[in-house]
Amino acid sequence: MQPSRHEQIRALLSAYLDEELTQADSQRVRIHLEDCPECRQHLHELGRLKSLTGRLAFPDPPEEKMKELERRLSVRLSRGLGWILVCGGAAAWLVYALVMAILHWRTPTVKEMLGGAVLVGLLMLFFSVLRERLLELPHDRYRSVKK
Amino acid sequence: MAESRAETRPAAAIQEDGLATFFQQHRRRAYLFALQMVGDPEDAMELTQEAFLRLHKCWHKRSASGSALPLLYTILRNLALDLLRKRAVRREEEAALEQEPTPEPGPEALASQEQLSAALWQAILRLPQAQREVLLLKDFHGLRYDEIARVTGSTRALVSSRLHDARERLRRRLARYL
Repeated sequence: MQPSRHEQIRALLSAYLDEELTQADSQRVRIHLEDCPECRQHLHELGRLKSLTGRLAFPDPPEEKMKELERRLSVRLSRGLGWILVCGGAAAWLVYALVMAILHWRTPTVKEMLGGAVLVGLLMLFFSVLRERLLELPHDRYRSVKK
Repeated sequence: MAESRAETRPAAAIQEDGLATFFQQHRRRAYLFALQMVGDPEDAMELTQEAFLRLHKCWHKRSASGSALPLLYTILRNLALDLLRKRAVRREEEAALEQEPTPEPGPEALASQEQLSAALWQAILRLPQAQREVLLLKDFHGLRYDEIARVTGSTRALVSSRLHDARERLRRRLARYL
């Protein structure tokens, strides 16, 4: 059975209210509304619902919580940048040291050995954190969530 | 929905490519959408944090117009749906009895605007999830149909249809008070 004229128009009222109809459909609805008090009332009720939904009041997040969120984000994001700098720098330094050791082999000085110890220490820390992350991965509650 | 709060200065570490400004402008609406989706303030706060971290990782994928809002809503929605799925599984495992929805208040109780809003919110909570999220994204968060379609991974026509169904259900349920 064909839907009645009213049903056809009412199916469009929601999108008409949101100004999301094509120009032709919008015109069709407008002409119908001029002669149909029932559909005008229907539209009025939808408009009131929309307005009420838009003005629903929810408790604001506590400001302290928001500041805490900003701090946590800041810490986590700066940590990421720090790791990139440390790893990039360490890798470049390692490559440079290897090349120099191959080209000009000699017994390293105390300064070079201390620098090397710091580098090796950083690399050990990096691999330790990397291992921890890999072990934690199966328990990450958001791992499977798509962006 | 306008952001009404006076905002604090952004942290230095997230001051890049406008992300800090974006965070300040939209953190409240992000939190409210998470709250509307999952219902629990603690979970909402955690989802908001996770969403901004993920947004930072894919900040370059925001739309050509520069608006990252649909992307933020997409991430929040996916996180919320994941949490809701896990909750549902947990409920099944615990064999918990499904909670009856709070009954709508009668006409006497609907004397004030606040009580009408409460009744409306109860009715919204009883909508199917797909209709509820579309309704909130449109009427509370002010997104356009094409933006909602991107957020929900559907089409503009489906958004329009779900919104129509949601509003008709609400209209029928609250007809006496409109």
